[in-house]
Amino acid sequence: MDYEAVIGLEVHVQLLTKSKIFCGCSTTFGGPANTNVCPVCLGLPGALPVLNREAVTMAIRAGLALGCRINPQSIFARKNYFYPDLPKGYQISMYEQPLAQAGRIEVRTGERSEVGNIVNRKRKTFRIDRVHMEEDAGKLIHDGSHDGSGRSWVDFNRSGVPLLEIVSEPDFRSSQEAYDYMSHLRKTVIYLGVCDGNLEEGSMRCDANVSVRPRGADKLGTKIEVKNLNSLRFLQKAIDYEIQRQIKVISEGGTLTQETRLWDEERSSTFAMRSKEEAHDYRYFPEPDLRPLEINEAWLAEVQSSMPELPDTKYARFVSEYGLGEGDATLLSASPDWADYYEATVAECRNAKAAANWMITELTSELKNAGKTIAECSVTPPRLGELIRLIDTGEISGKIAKSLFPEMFSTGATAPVILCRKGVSQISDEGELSRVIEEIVGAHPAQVESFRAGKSKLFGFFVGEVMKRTKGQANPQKVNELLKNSLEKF
Amino acid sequence: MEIYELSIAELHEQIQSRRISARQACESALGRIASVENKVDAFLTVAREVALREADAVDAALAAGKPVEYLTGIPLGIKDVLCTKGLPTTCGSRILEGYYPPYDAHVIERLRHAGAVIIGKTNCDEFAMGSSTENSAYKPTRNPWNLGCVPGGSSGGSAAAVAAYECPGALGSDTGGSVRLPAAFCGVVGMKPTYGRVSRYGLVAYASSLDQIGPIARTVRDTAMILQAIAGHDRRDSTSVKVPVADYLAGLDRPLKGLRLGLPKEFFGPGLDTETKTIVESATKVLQGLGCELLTVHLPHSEYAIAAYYLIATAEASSNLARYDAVKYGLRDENVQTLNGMYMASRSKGFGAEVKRRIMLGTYALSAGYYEAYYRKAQQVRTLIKRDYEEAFKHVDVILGPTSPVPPFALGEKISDPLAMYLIDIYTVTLNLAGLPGIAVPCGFTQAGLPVGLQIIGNYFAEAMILRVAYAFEQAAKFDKPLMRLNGNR
Amino acid sequence: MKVNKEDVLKIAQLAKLSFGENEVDTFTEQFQRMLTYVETLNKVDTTGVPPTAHVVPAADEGAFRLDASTTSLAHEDAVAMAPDQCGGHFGVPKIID
Repeated sequence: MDYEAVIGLEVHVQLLTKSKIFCGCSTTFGGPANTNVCPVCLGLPGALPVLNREAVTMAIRAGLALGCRINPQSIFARKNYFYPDLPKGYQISMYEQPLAQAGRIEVRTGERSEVGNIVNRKRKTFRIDRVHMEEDAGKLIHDGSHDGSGRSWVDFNRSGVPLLEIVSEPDFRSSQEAYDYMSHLRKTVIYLGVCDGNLEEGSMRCDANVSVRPRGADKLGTKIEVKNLNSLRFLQKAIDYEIQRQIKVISEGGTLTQETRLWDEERSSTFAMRSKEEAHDYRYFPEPDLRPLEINEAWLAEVQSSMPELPDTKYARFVSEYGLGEGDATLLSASPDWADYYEATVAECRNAKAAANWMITELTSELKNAGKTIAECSVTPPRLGELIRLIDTGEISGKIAKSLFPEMFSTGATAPVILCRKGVSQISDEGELSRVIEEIVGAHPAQVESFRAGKSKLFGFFVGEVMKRTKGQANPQKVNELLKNSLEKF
Repeated sequence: MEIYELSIAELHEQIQSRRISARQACESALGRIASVENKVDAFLTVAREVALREADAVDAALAAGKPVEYLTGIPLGIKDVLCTKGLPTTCGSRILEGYYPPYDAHVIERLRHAGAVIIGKTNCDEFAMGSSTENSAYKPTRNPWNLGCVPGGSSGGSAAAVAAYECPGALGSDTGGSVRLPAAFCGVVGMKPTYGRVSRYGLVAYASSLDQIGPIARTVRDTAMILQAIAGHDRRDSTSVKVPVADYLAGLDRPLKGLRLGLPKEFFGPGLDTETKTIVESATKVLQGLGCELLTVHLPHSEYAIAAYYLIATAEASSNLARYDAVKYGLRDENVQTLNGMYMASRSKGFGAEVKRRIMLGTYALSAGYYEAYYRKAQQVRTLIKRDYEEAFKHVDVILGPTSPVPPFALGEKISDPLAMYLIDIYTVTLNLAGLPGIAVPCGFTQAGLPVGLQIIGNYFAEAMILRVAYAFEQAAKFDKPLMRLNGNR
Repeated sequence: MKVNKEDVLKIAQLAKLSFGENEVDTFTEQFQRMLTYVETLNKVDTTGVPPTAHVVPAADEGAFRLDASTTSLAHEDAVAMAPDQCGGHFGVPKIID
């Protein structure tokens, strides 16, 4: 029988606020355990939550970017359950009236062929069920290495960090679609400046609900929740594995039970969580400590007016405004850092194509070798722009420019400084260049003959010879000019 | 006359004129505590050393020229559900035995700022759940008018301490009548302000949407003086409101002539003790004699208030008390090796019977399948109760009634019948459900010499109005006041 | 609603409370009485009546915090009241999974 998969994603996005969602504790990580805590995020008796306005603004921004309706009134609710990382015994979340609902986003996706490349590229719309705000829990350390006593340990530094939960409709039919949606989402939240998009470190977390059913059936199959998907690759592999596993169970006459499974990267498989969690009954009810959240027109307008250009719009503009190809436009619009760098460089050198080439080849390879991000790059857009301009005005050759770039990258010096320091200055002196040209013309009478007989392609040969002789330091424009005069004067 | 016999207003005058120092006031109160506490048992912690140190600091500040505020140098008792840095805060529960909060509640900050001296933490029903103070895990408090009777609850320690002249004023908390009922039972004045008038930050929550901190004192003026110090907006409590605070003393003695006073038919019907009824009715006549108009009003949904209250309050409590999980603070049963075992054993050992009953009822009311029938239904009835009041206040300025359906009862009389105990709150809970302010003021004594309290209910933020009515009544009423005996059977 | 011992034990598990064998019967009986009492609400017609969860109006500007980080608790204070702590962490029995 032919099966189809039905997949939905629940994505948690950690918002980039400076302070926590309901208290003033810092959201920076890496400090000693239980140092960014206060009565509120530690759940001390008597402490009360007060909502961080910036977290709401970020949530609205995300809701708008995902094409959602922002509810004029949303209600915080308590989700009640006991767990040591949950300091109050409940998580403040949203339930009946979430912040935003009924969104849709268009994602560039396709199908993965047998050999692994993407074919049948298309744009597909996926629906978003809801977007709501909630607080993060603390962190549990199970490894026992803390003191070897076989206890578990709790650190509440993360408790109360603002999260956005983005719940999709079960609209994905393949792991590739889920992958493309997730990577689109990731790009979007980074662009919006609401999340750093780091899956490995948990700034973005994803759970997948996977079920299979005979193709064409209306009824959904048994839903399995898959967790521990902390990279885009794991997400794709885990969904693929889970689809195959479920098909196998069903086609062998077995039945699936609704459960939560974890992805195990080492074994490349999913496994059911060992301890059967008790039947959950979260007993949601409106959070009495927080008044309903009203988002009026003025607030919406304020957020709307500060919305950055989204990746897809930017992509389209790169194609139309700068004449970039799809591949280049995709690469350069992948993150706001890259896009901003690109546009700043173009503004400097007015050569969109060259700026794109330099970034995709030279810059990418240097960054990769150095293990740096573009934000850490010492060659700033004005410097790269300057380098390109030097080529375009003929002051240096492309070849020299390429030879300068590694040093610009490693030392942070500008191109003219390096040129000066190295003594690699251009030979623009007409007398010196003329002398070289005369010599070369004199040494190749046969070629001169052919050129004058109409074989104009030979011009390049003479340029090459001049460059060889001057070790590439000759000013190409001058060479062109002088060579032309010299060859034509007879 | 002993210093401890002075009212806050009198003591304030003496302190202002430097005839009495803060230390003398504190020592006198401590002396009174030392001599009667073994009979009354109003305090869980007497802060002898700390209080004297604070009193000395106040005297030093006064000597340095700090202006005298109403509460400067006044010794006050604090219900043990309010967080006090440096003093234990147990909520009358074993689960918080020995717990020292690392911060002061907002009202404590306010009191300290005004120069008040916290003389101790007063006894209460565990987590403020009860109407007799018998649910304290530590000891019952006695009614100073008859030591064989309960002082009412849950702020029984605060009311008894004030009645027994152990301190001139105290703070309580009122979720369903917990300030007004013990005030009435102990023959003192107790007020529940409008929900949102006083910050709940640092008040250990019982039922967050109903809890409000209120003052207890021997006179209406003293009550107003305490309220003046604690009322006002606080950024740390999202439910505290930005309504300007009136001057509660300025208009206290304005005549009442022309005020319309509403008598709810439902508050004088079956279930009201006949002696209490007679006393309260004659109190209303006193006010009529001052030129007020008495009108009958209807609060038709009052009979459902107790049922709605017990569903809403217990639901919120079941969630509020989930933080006592033996992880961050509080009692832990050390004999258990598993997480679930730790939760079950610690909470079962730490909570008393009434607290467990309420957590159970609240958990049930919120659980899957019952939410609509119980919790939501109760919230709808709450709307109807609120509407009843809104309608009544279209016709009258304040509403009058009894505070309790019965006079103070004997210790042990109702403790084995939870439902009978709940019904004591029948006239007080409606205000909490609607969020309205109310004050209990002594209006007479039964044949047995036990106090009866008149309840005066105001519209939202009409604290000044009900204080004014209470003050006029207090000045005009000439009921026979027996001597407080501090005897009877313990 | 009729409740039996099993219902009570199920709720107790959710609430993380335990009852001894001899307590359960008394408790179940009390619980039943309380439930029967609160069910008097069924006599009220609440068709079309919105529930009241908050008696104060919706959040105004005063009900928000600005996104500025403030001082946290001193580390010692944070863990001072813990029944079990080590190296600044709160300790709990080993959690499986």
